Amino acid sequence: MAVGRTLPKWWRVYVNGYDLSGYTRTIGPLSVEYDAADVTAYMGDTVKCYLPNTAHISPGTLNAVFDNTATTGLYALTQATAGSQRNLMVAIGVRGAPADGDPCFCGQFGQEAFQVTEDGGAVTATIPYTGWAADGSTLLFSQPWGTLLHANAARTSVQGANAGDGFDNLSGMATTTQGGFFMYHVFASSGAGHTATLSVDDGTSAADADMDPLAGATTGSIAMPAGLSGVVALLPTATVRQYLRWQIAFGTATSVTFACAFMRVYNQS
Amino acid sequence: MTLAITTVCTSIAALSVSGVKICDLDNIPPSGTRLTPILFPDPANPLSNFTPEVESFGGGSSRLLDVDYDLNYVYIHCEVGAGRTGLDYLEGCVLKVQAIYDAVLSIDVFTGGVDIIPTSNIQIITMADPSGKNYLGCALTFHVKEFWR
Repeated sequence: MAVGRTLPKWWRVYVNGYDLSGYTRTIGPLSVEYDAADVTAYMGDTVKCYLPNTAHISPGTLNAVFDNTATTGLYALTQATAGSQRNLMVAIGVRGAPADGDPCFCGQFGQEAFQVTEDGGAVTATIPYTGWAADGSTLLFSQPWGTLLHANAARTSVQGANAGDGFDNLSGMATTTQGGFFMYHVFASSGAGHTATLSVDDGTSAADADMDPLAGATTGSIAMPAGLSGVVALLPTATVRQYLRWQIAFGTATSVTFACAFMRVYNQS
Repeated sequence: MTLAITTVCTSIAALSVSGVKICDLDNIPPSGTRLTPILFPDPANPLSNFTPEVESFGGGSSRLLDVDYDLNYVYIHCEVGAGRTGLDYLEGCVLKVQAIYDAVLSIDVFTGGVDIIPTSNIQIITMADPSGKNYLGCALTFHVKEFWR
């Protein structure tokens, strides 16, 4: 995990268990916007004043190159999904491919459309997203930004559980009591029916010895086919400690290639 | 961060292109004799289009600054007229230039800069080595972006 400035070429876009980065030209704006409620008391206030109202969260528009590769191509993955909810993750690599601990924008959004057009001679597809999906489990939270706990990579049963250090997350607060959500994308595995459990540990420090399973932040033992994604939402009152890391327990799977992130909520209004 | 033009040149020199020797700024050969195929920084114009761009408020070292520039290289493949017809090595020359461009395009992370892309037209012509001797080759330009500060 590097720090500092970066370029879009090191972003990665994952949608419903597929890596669309190779097709993506741009995505954004990745936005969190609050309506400003005018609460000016004109007989007493000398200036107009506001309070933030409901948040609007959106990944904006995905502009991509049209490609009809079977199963994993942009056309196959997005032309029939207009109007449906999508699990979307944008991992922000910093001057390199995204690494564990990098910033991440995640959420469940409606795919608003699938629009194929021509741009400068190239055939492109434009895929606008709605704000937070009304039927999504991320609806409980107003925080799409979190920590990429595991960058897209394979883990094997030989490697076993994660005993590495955790990562300080966005807020830096020792504990928060506003929950959060866990998003995962599985890109490949040893077999479609092979099982494993993905989960999150939290801790008071980054050290392995201080890490414990974060209650509720687990997929449970599930089959791990390629193209699997999901969200595990905690209660909006759940306690989350400052340091987080990914965790895996292998069932029948011997290898799982995945990315996952946790969005810790600390600013719910 | 500090300006790292020479570091970027060293990164380019570290690329692996089969059959091509790639030179750093500090080892440009005085002559191409018995060294071809070889790629080296253009000794007459190694750097051009140097364009700093202020990215933030602040002065001195506190402001963020990007810089874009072109690094100009000379590729020489063989002496002009080499082979039976004088054109025997033309395809080989193009293949090596392709390989150089492929190697540069394949760079993801490199020391010194944050992005690099070949920008020049591939025009196979007569190129001179630093001693003025003529070779079959071409001029190559790589556009570089650095996060300067």
